[in-house]
Amino acid sequence: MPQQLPAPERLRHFIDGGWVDATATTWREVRNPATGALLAQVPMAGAADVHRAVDAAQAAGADWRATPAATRARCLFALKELMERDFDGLSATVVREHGKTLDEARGEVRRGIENVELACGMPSLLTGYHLPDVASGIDEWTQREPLGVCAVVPPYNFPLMVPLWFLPVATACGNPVIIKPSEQVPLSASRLVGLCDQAGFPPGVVSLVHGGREAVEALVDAPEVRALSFVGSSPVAKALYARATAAGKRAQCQGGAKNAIVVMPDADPLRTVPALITSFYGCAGQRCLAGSVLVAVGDCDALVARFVAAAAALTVGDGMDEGIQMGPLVSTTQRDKVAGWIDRGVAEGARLALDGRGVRPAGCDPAAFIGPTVFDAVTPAMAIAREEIFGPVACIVRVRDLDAALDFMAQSPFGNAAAIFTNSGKAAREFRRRAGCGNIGINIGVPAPVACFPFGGMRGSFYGDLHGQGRDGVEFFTDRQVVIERWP
Amino acid sequence: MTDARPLPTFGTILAFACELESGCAARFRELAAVTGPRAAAFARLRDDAARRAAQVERMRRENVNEMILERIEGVAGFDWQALLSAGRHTELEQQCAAFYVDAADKGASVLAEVAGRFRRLAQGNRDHQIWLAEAPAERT
Repeated sequence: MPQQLPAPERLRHFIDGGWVDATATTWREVRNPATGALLAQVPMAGAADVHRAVDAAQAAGADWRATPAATRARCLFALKELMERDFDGLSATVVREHGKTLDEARGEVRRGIENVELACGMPSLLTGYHLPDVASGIDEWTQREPLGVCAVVPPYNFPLMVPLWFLPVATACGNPVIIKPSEQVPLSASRLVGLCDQAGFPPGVVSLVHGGREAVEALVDAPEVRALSFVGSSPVAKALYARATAAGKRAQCQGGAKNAIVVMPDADPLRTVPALITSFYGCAGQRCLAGSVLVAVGDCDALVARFVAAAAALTVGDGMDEGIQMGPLVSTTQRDKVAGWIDRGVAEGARLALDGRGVRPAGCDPAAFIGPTVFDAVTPAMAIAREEIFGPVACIVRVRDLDAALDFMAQSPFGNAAAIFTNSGKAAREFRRRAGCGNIGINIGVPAPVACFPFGGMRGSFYGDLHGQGRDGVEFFTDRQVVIERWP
Repeated sequence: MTDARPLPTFGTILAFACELESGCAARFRELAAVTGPRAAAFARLRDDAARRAAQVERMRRENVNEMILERIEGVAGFDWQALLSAGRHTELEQQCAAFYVDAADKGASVLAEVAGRFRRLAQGNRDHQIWLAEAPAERT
């Protein structure tokens, strides 16, 4: 008999500056995918709970937009300090609910903090420009105004970092924000919102509502919500973008990916293979920047052998154990989905060079685990070469030259990220011009933009104009006014 | 953990370094509190170890990102607790210096920001050896 565990926490919404009970009648379990332990129960909010949050945010908006930018930024400075103090707690929460490794979680928390740091400088980023005497006695300038209530709907794979792509910049620009975290991983965002409360954001400026599709649709449809920031799958991104923009809202909706990593024959294998391993198997492949197709150019038998050996050597287990290099998938459902893709690759005729389906890490519940998997001899026509798997599965497509690699990439409906490993500046230049992706890595396997640059995304990987992070974030979360002034 | 376990990632290297530096800081704090000819040297080591422990903890938190999660080959820990408890301080400082140089060399491409700081920590360990050599011998 398992020992008696304390009852799991029943999560609450954060509305109008306080934690409130959900009116939801449906609840979902949140489990640690590495151990199967029940962590919490999350309410699946309906429209009523969402509207409470929207009303509180709307009510807070007028005072918050009138608050000086430097005063707003002080809440972000306080949040940064609180996150630094809670760094280990935040990292552990990410590991427990998502399954990624401690190193990966620390990297995620750090990236989140960097976005808060960027927003601390918002008074400078919000300044407009001015030209006196555009005509005789007439001055003209630009100024930025906040939009109003902004909705943030992050995915499950970065439960802390992705909310922080948007929340700091949006609030620093003068907007109230409502986060609807992924119902699979709601604990990190809850912890973050608790820190926001301590940081001194006024009631209603930062809110959190738990739930699923119904909550998202209620947010998007609420007339008071003026902007939507979404990260998830491409079909949902496309549908939400259409729904939000049809209602006259601003939307930035990031979708899925099928990222190709091209390895040229001149790439140094000693440096390339470790970077490939990180790209394909970091976060168990559940990253929108993860490598998915290894496009090997020319004679690549030695590279492939080295890659397969390195993948096989990865230590898989509970991410809370320091030194574990790959954790589980986020859930048994996702594990089964990825296993289904492996079955499909076998059925399509790809050569299964490394099969991760049988992995059983010691001390873990194996139900959500799949070990590193490699398919060789994958052809562009196979579904595993074209469609998003979102798991630790590398598909090796062998091509004769760079042109063939770029032709293969051009067939993809996705355009999130791509990388090339080479010693040739000419090849790298050709690649970055023709790759057709929003985030390009040159001898970098995970081309993740830092906070002061926008997180790219093109074609079917992004619906919108302005991306998250950097100056794009400031543009997205503000309207620009032009003032033309003459005094008699 | 006191064995020569492999440290294959940024996290394991930094976790080992954190254990090592905080362990040294605690032990030197105890030794500095004991009146004797070497108390001043241990007080100096105590202060420096506390500074180094904070520095390593800060590296662990601030210098990890998605691009440096790559595997690092060939770096291993060592049994610092045995050296510390046996009072073999000079040998401990030598092994610390060797550890930081090794980690900096082998992880240079992955730990670019950290490698330089590791080399400075190694230099600090060499300074510690001088401090210990200059301290008067214990009376028996």
